[in-house]
Amino acid sequence: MSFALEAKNLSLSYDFSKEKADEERHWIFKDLSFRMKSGELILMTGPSGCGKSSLMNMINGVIPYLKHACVRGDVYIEGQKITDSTVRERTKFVGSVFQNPREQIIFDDVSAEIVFPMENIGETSQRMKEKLITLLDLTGLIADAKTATLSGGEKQKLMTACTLAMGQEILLLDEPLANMDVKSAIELLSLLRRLAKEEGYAILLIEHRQEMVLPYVDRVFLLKPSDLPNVEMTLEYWEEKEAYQKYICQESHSVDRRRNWKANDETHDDGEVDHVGDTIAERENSREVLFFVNNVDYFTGKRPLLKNFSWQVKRGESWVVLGENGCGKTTLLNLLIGFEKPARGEITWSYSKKDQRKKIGYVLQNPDYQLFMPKVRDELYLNAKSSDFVEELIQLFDLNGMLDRHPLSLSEGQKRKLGFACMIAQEPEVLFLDEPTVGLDTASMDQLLYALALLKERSGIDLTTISVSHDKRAIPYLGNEFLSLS
Amino acid sequence: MTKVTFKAFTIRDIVFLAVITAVTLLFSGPFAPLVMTATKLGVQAIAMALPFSLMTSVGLRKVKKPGSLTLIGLFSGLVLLLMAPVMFFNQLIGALLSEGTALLLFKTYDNKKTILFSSGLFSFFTIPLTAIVNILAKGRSIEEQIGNPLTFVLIVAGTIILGFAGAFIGNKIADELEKAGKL
Amino acid sequence: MYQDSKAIHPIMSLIFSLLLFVTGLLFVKEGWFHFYVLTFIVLLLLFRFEKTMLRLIPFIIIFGSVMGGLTMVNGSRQDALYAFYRVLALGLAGTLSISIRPIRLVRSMNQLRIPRWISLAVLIVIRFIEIFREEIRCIRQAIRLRNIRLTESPVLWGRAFFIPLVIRVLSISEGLAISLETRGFSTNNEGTSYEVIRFRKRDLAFSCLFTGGLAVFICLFFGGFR
Repeated sequence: MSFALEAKNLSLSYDFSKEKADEERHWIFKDLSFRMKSGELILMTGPSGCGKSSLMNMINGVIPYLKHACVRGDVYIEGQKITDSTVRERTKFVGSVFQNPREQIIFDDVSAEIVFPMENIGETSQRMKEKLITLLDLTGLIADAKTATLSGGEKQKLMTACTLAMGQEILLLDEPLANMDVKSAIELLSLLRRLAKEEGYAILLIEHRQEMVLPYVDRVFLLKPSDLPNVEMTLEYWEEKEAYQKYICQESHSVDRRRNWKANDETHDDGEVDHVGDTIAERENSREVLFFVNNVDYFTGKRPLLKNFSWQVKRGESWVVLGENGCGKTTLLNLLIGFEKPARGEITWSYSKKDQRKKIGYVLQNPDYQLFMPKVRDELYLNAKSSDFVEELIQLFDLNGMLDRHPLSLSEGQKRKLGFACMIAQEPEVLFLDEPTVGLDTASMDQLLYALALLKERSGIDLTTISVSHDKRAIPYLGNEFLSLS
Repeated sequence: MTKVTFKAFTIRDIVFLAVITAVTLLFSGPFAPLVMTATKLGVQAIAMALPFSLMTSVGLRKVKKPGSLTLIGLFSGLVLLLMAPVMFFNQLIGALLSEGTALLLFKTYDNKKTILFSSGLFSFFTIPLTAIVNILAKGRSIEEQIGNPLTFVLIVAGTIILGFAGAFIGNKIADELEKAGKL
Repeated sequence: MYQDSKAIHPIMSLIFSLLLFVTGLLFVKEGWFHFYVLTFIVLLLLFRFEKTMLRLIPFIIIFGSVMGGLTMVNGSRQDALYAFYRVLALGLAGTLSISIRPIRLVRSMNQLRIPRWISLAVLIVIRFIEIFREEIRCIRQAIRLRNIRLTESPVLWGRAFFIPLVIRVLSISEGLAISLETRGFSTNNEGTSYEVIRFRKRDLAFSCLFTGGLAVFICLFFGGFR
């Protein structure tokens, strides 16, 4: 029997040196083999930076044809070896949906973007029209909609539609749910499930948000640290997702979380509006108000994002702002810090404008914006308040071996942690965190939460945090008061 | 004598040069209408020199193929065609001249001087082109455009200095990113 | 597919825009320049370009006044007026060119057998100007968050601005190139076209009126009616 996709003994190393024998190289993974049948939806998960995206890129040919690496092993599609095929040749069989859809859209309307890959493979105009209608129906997108106005979730759907337009029956998706709200994520997962079960697609889904994906998938591939010398990761297969569910529950209990923040007892859904947080009345009364938001209106274009919005936060509170994509969570942080101006209403801080700059820290979603020094060490000490605390952060985030490296040479996960460490090294009194745990594995997330606790402990004042997050793993530990926007 | 060797552009090269063009236009875009409307020759060139050479030199460090700067000129010219059609010629021919000069002198982009000259001289080469446009489209004589010769010499010198300064900074940035394994 | 019923053929728009621009600059000192401007404003209004014209009015007023003002410093009031007129001519020509939808221009370019990679690059430039406007805003915000001021430490500020900017350029272009390749795009593949941009009756009517009008003013300029 031939499988839709078969990988045999795949190995990957970024150690290019020609003089070295394979035994001497440092391998990200070595001799990985797996098979996928048509109609299967498989979750591939593992810690951040473990090589999941690289593995996907070895299947679609991006590695080694567009990104250089030392690779070994073979890939088969329907029993046919494609290892020596270029990216373009492989696109006949394999469709790929990458991260950051915003940066891949080139046309100004949805329909032009969807027909673009069909034009590339030489479809006839009639066939394109038919496929376009089907895909719009399948994804719920509107043909004339301007791509610039789409939400993050819609952009992801659009890129998925572009891939589907090419008609390959093997789909690889790299973290399609990152930054997606629950509703959009469920819609996309249902669509993928339908494609697998009704249309016979073989789908490999790389994702961190396992709890959300598990109900939809058939099997799980887990990349986990390897015991072999010179090999970082190994692949573990879970034929029964229920067994995997039990495994992750046990794992999460066995981890020493070192978190000292208690989760709020109440569960919270990303659902309807309640612009009221759950407050702990006794503590609240004794604390100074940090800022008031008074009847604020904010518009994106003509669409009201915040209408008559009022809120107040007291010193020492830890809030988590919840809500669907595009509902204004990041905008709210930007309004509070003064990056955006409200159309109406006012935001009053207990700090002066000058103090605001010194006392408020903001961890951005993308660390690339915040890293620019020539060495990790310089980055950490730039504007840091105390060298002791920096040393502590270096230990906590395992940055010791990389202090002399260029920050931009670090892996994505390491950069995220470094960006976070730099910001809290400034010891702000108020900290805004925008999706701080996106793309982080559980261990890295624990380090980050522990660092927050350290900052709180150390500063001697009540640290106020306002976090925006979709990550259910982290939400209970990021705050104990919740603001839900719709 | 070494010859200039032309190599085919890949999709990655084209996309990178297009994105660099977008950033360059974003920096220099506000000055573009000056080409048609400024009375003093060279004003727009001096304004565009630094940002243009800085970004294009980074672009040339990444895509070290003869024709790269001309492609940047072509892409920006085609986009500016929508704003002010005459700018197309200004951008394309300016890029062609500066890249041609640099390659004639140093033959290959593996030499950093080629990048320095190619992107550093671009703005300077737009000055005579602007003068021609002004003569043809506005009927303004060269003397009229130059005005005070001393001011004009200062403007030209400033354009060259800023062009080379931008290209130097761009090369420095590229050096660092190359060390970090990003370029 | 979205049909642009009001739009003029993109290549015609470009050619007419170029003609308007060149003749506008040539005619700026003529006594009948107002009639020239008025004629083409009426023509553009007839063909429903009012929204684009409205969008350009602030540009013409602001930029025209600045140019006029600067000219007045060194020249006469008349020179300042001419400077303003030049911006007006630029705005008039711009009305035609900026109303072209990039996708229609690209499809027309493809029909003219211009390689697809050139037209695609043009689309990327247009789209990514906006994306990088946003990127630059984010970088400047990040600089503010690291408490770096241009006035206090310009070199550090420069690092904090340009290094992340170049990194974003590299990362965005890398991702986009991979995405394009996996969507089957290739530099040596002509592909097919979803929509054929045809020369319609509307384009013919516009072309006739435009060339007719322009011919009259060209004759006037060369003294043809004397």
